[in-house]
Amino acid sequence: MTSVFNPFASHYDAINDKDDFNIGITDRKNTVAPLETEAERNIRTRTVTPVVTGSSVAAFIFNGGVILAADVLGSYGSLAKYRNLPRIHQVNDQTVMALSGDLSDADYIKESIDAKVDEDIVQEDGSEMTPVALHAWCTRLLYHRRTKLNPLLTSVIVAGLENNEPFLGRVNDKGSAYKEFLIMTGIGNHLALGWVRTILENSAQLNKDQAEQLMDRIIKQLYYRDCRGFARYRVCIVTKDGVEFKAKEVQPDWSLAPALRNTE
Amino acid sequence: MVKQHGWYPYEFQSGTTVAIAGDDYVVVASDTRLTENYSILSRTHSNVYKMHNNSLLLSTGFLGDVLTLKKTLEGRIKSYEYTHNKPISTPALAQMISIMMYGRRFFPYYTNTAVAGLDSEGKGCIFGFDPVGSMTPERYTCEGSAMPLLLPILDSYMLGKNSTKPGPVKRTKEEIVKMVKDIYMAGCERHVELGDGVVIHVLTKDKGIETDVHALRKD
Repeated sequence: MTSVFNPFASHYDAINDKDDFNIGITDRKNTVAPLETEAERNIRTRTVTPVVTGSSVAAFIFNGGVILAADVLGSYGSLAKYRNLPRIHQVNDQTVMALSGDLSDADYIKESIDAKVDEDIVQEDGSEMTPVALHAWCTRLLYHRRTKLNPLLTSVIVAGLENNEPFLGRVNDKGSAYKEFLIMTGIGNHLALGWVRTILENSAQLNKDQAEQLMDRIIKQLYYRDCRGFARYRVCIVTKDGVEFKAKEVQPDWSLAPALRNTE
Repeated sequence: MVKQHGWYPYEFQSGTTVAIAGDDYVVVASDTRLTENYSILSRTHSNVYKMHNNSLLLSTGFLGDVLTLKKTLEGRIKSYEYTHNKPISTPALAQMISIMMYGRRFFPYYTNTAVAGLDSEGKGCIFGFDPVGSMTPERYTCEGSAMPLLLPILDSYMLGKNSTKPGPVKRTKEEIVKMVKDIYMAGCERHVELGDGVVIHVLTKDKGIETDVHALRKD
């Protein structure tokens, strides 16, 4: 029987001194009773402030699929510490997940979903995780952690094709989830959501090239105005032909800077 | 110095719902704007959820709790149907919601919920709940962010309260639907979180749930 990674087993949430390698082998007869209760330990070890964070993620639906983009920076407070952390994760041929916020919690979510996908593969019944299913599962996971007052401080954007229809949804660290044709997390919500929604609402649905161009413009805008933004980013496009990743770098035009001098 | 709240387990999404019960129908409406602080997340997010037993759950407040409440209820409604071999009636569902919400008395579901449906005689019935499950049967409810604006109009229109012509007034289904559109249109002029659209469901025994979406201001 292959070992199964169960992220909901209690020992994955608590740091367990009795079990040095945290693999759950405990022989209760040979251990000393702990000096604090499980609840006290959890309250002491839970985190409510993020450590290494990813900035915004931008995503929208176009005619034929979904496009997402996120820069590759992991910020340690205001230090741009990890400059090659891609935050868009492919789950299978029709689903991707982009994460922002605390990146260690993001890694936990990625590992859990990869374990789930591996279980699906092992079953060999042709069943694959769809975006709606992943969205629902992430909602439950994040809501459960917030109810234990030990949140995963990450926002998850789930995107993909559900029955060949593009799907895009977001879950935040408290378990609030919604789906919409345009989603931005983090400061992108304030810097870009408004004007992009005007473009997407008032024009006929964009094709793939137009969507890419618009996404490049969005990331450029975020790079100009977000203190935690970064020039290198990844774009992910999901269509019925599959999932495509592109690594890009913003080509900023600073020629407008002198015109803005003394205005701010 | 007093320590400020770091991370707080609740947040508040907008949403205003209205439900009105008639002799053989229920009219249920919700605005379709979803906001978070001062950002609009979605213009097409309804707060009315259709339950499998042909009743409607209206729920606003903290979206995480709304979704969890809805999901838990869906499971329990199915379970009831498998155990009792019949769909759960709306009054029984209301009692179940009340017990469930009180079960979380010390970490509440932060939602203003109501459930609307037809009772065993075919009459419209609505049950309103507070965040810890206090249940009251009502002829009409209004809950959510714009409730202080809309509820007085409903009081006056449905029961003639606080007006020069007191006493309940008999209204037809069509008049009620028109009134609901009017009060949402009036409310969204004066409330920032109200707008984008109102989705109106009319539940009758013969035709089931008929849905209509009426556009509102987007500002």
